[in-house]
Amino acid sequence: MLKLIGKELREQRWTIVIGVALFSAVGILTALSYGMLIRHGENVAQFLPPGLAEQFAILLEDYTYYVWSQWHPKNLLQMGVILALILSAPAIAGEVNRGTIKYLNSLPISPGAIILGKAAAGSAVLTATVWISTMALLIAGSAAYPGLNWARLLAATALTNVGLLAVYALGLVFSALGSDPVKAGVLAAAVLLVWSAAGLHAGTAFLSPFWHMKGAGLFAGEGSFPWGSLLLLAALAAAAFLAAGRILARRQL
Amino acid sequence: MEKAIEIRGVEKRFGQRLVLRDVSFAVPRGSVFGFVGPNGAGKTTAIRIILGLLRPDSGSVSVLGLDSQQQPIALRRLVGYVAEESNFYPWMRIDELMGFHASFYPRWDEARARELLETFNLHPRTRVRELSKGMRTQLGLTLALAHRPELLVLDEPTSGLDPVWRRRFLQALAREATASGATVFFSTHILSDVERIADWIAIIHQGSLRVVRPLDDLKYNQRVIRVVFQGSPPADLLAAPGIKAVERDGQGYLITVEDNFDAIYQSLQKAPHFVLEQVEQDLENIFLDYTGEKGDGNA
Repeated sequence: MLKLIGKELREQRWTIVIGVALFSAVGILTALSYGMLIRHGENVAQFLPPGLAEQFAILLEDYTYYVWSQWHPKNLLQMGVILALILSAPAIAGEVNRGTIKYLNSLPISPGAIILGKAAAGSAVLTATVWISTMALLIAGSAAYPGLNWARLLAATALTNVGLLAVYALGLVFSALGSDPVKAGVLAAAVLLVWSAAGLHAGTAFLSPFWHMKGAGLFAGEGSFPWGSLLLLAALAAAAFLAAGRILARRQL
Repeated sequence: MEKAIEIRGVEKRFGQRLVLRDVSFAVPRGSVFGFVGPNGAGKTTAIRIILGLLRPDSGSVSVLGLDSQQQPIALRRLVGYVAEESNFYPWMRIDELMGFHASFYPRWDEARARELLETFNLHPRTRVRELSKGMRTQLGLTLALAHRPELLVLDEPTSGLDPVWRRRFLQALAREATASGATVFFSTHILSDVERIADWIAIIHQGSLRVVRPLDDLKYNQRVIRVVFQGSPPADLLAAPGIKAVERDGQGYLITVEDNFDAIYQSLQKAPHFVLEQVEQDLENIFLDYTGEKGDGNA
């Protein structure tokens, strides 16, 4: 199992390097962009309609809230979804496409263990990218401006991280179904896109996994940790990982 | 007879196409068993079922006493498998691939693996993508042998190899099989490979098993006799047990025998005849006879 995880990490080494570098750069820029908005805030606000101008002012009042709003529901979530699909789509479909799945399957290892090995490696890459880049953001943000609430931002990162694992697991399901990594990625993305439509309406927003991934509850009202969202996303990830294992076992590749 | 593989009534269908129909046979332990058939006969499907990689629609398979469907992982730990296409990771070096492969086999013998690499002149630092097809097949054999398997399963191992690589591979296979005492089960459509190393043969055609016997026994008993009787042939003689087919050949008969050759020949000797002779049968003729392709000129 460890060798399988090692093989996966070796195959994804450039994705790790590029992912961590890109996410960290965007994280640092996100943290530092606050200063620019503070400097030019008044100029910006005069061009905004009254409602938006109010929200813009709230955003600039609290640095922690600003960082969260620009990082977790936007950059981290959007780039994270793309990274999760880049990692998961070729996991099985790529092996089928290259023919190497026949070698892998002929080894004394069950389809469930193959999925477990791949899921462990993919999840590790995704998690490392999320946390390294978020730490880069927090360090850069704290160095530039005092008063950043690390605890809340780290809690939101945990939610986004688990949500991205669910996205990864969903990509793995489509990867286990097909033999073309591009098709697997596009299909998973299409499903997520349709699913995300639930988030457009306040009454149905809770049906979208992205709504749960943002951790908005941490910054609204009493700011308690949304354990329900965390458990829901974790259950979604677990169910998708299990489904991928079952699909691979039934395919008889 | 102790059995390394026992297949009972296996059927497999892909969509509407019946690929294996009621296939049953046993592979004796310690034998070198040639599984012969033309392309598309169902050899690879049968091998994949044996290894637990495919589920049969009906029937059962026991390998080294393990059920291939219930205990596929335990089974594969005891079996060395060389696939027709060696789909190893092309970016890995040979030593990396060996390290990866070894981690799945508790009985992996590193010293033996190194010894086999030396025998095949394979350098551990070479990347898989740089190997020729012949070298990849030899690497496959190295990986299959280095965990000291009780059973070696090879699917068309010499397919696509030039005569030099083929000879080299078969020599190594025969040598290693003899040294280790492992049972060897290999599929092929190249009859000379079977004649060179096998002691048992099974012929499969269009998903049906046509014959399973020791090779020497098959070659001895599967013969054609040409006989011209003085007058009519004795009643019942041409229907004796072991006679597979009788054809008219001018004034005489061509009798294809598949069993009891000595008894049949002695009976014919006793009947009044002008001519009684054996027609030379090589393995190719026997194969064509069983596959019903005689006269086409293709094996």
